[in-house]
Parts: sequence; structure tokens; C-alpha cells
Amino acid sequence: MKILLLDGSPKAQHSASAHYLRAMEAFLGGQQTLLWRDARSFDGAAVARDLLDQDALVIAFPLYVDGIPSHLLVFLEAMEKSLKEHQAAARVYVLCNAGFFEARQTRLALEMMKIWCEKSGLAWGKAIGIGAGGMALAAPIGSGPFAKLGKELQTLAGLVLAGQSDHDCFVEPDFPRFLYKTIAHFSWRSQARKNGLSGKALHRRHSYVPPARHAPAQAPSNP
Amino acid sequence: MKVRLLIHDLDEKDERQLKYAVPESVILFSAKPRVKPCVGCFGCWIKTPGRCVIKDRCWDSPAMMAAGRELILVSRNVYGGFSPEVKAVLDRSIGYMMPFFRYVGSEMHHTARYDNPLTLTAHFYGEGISEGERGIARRLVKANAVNLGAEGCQVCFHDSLPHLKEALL
Repeated sequence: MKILLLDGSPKAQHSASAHYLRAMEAFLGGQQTLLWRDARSFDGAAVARDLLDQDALVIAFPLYVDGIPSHLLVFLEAMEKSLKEHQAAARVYVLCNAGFFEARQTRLALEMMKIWCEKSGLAWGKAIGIGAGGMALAAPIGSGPFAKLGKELQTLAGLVLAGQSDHDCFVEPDFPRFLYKTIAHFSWRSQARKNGLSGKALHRRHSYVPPARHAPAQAPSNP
Repeated sequence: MKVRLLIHDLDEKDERQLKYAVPESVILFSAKPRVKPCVGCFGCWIKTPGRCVIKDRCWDSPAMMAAGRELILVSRNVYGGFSPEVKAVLDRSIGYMMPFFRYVGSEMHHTARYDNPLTLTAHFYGEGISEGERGIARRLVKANAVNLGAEGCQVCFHDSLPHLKEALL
């Protein structure tokens, strides 16, 4: 079976999306032909051509401002355009992770991906919305707080291999929400301190002087 | 004076018409050509708080948003959401919020950096926007408004560019 794994994160390192795809790779087993692509360095039209002889497409991406990240939108539109000319038979499976604790906050991005599937003539397989993406790399998938996520990814791998669809689901780590919030706040302050900033500096506000009506916005000359 | 900010993905010719038609109190920001995408570094929260670390014309968009009492988004409909051009500006503007979390109802959201009673209006344009896409867009703008701590939001659909211009001009 041929499966294309598409990493939709803008990050080349420390990416939760790539982390989930690596887990999927393990659950899919070594008998499959896996093709790895990412939306950072590949062109959407070229990946659409790659998809023509694939049985499944698994896309993982982070939630950005309640939706799909802009670089991935560019990529998906290019794929859609190409797929309208050359029909692919791959079934689509989607993983979307949110920084917020509640996995359901990914629902709009997942619905947008369904619209993309329809427009591209691809069959919808299943989506998993994942909450608390900020702690994705904190423990191995399948154990501790990610035991449930491990089960869901394993089920998803089974569906991919069987070429089947199922209803979407939403998964959060088995971890207290208030603690996730507390640790996140501690982590932001700690990272700021490493950058030489005080906790107060994180609250910095800036005033904005609008440019003259007919002058376009400029990049800073000496920021 | 509190102004209104209009972020759009219109072509140069259409933008020129807008420039002459809307009042001086409206700041126009063209999302075309597309600005560099957010790279997910969170530098706008932990390195240069409130400003994007990518030094292009979008670097100060959070402060630009804070200057306005209304944020107007004019975008081609793409899968029930914003075009890559407008979305790139929104993705680069998360410094408008703080990294810290708060709860709104049962959901986690970011705390506000600015005390800005913003309202959000979105104009989606494009041929044949389906009912499904309209439904997503309405809920998306509502979710964006909650995230931005906006006081209210409004969504309009236009099936062609002339109809959009009619509504805006």
C-alpha cells in the first residue's frame, strides 16, 4: 500500500505535526511504501502529481488563528488546481493540533479540510483534532497522558490500511487543564527570561502611527 | 482619534478605487503581495513582545490592529475561510494577544495585550460560495472575534467583486 505523509507545519524542527506523523509511521508498520512530503519545501502541484498513484494521504498541521496556516493554504490551493486536471483516488486522513487545551477548537480547520477534499475530488477518511499541542513532545505517544491519543492513532492507521472512513474524533491528553495552563505560563516567562526579557516586558504595548493614505506600509528601517 | 483598519487582498486597481472612496480614518493594508508566512517561532510573544520578528511591512500589524476601533477583513473565500494573503497577515498578528491563557466560557483563549474595544467585520467574496462554506465562515469570524477579545462581529458574503465594491464604496 502506498501512503503519502504530508507535514503541514512551518517548523522543520520541534514540530508536533511531524511527531504525530512519525507515530503514524510506526503504527502503519514497515510493510507499506511511505512517501514523506512537507508544505514548507515542496510545491503543492508537484505533491498532487505524487498523490496520483497513492492509496492514502495523511496530513498533519497546527491550528493557526482558528484555521489552516497560510503557507498550507497556498499549498492546498495548488494541489486542488492540479487535482482538478488529474484525478487522484487517495483517501484523506487529517490530524490537526491546537495549542489550546480543547481539541474541539480544531473543528473549523477540519471542516475547511473537508471542503478542500470535496473541491479536489478526494474521499474523506477521518480527522483527529488534538488539544494541548504545546505538550505534544512532553511524553511518548501511547503512554502516560497520551495513551488515548496512541489508541486513536492506531485506530486511524487501521482505517488507512483498510481504505475505510470513520467519524472524526477529538482527543485531549489525560492531564489536568489547569495544570497545562499553569505550566504554559511558567514556560512563556522562562523562555522570555532566556531571551533577556523580564516578565513585565511580555506585556509590552506599542503605539502605531498610520502612514499617509497613499503610502504603503513599510518594513522598519531600524527596528 | 480611533481609526478603522481594513485588511484586503484586492488587486492594485481595486485598491486604488478604495483609497479614494473610503474616509481618511480608514487605514488600508493590502495583503498583496503576500507577506511571509508565520513560522511558528512565538518570537512575537517571547523575543519582541507585540511585534513580529520578521522585519517586513507586516512586522507591526498587532499595533496597527490596536489602533483601530474596527477591524475590517476583505477576503476571497477559500474553503470557508480567508485567502492565503489575508490569513498570512492574521497569522503574523497574534502578538495582538498575549501568550497567556484565559477562559471564555468553557474554552481556553489568549489574554488581551491591549484594552481595545474592537469590532470585527469580514467580507468574503467569490463565485458560488456554498452554504457549507458560509456556515464555516460565520463560525470562523465569531471564533476569531472571541480570540481577539472583540466586542462584536459581522460577516457579509458577495458573489462577485463588483458586488463587494458596491458594498464597500
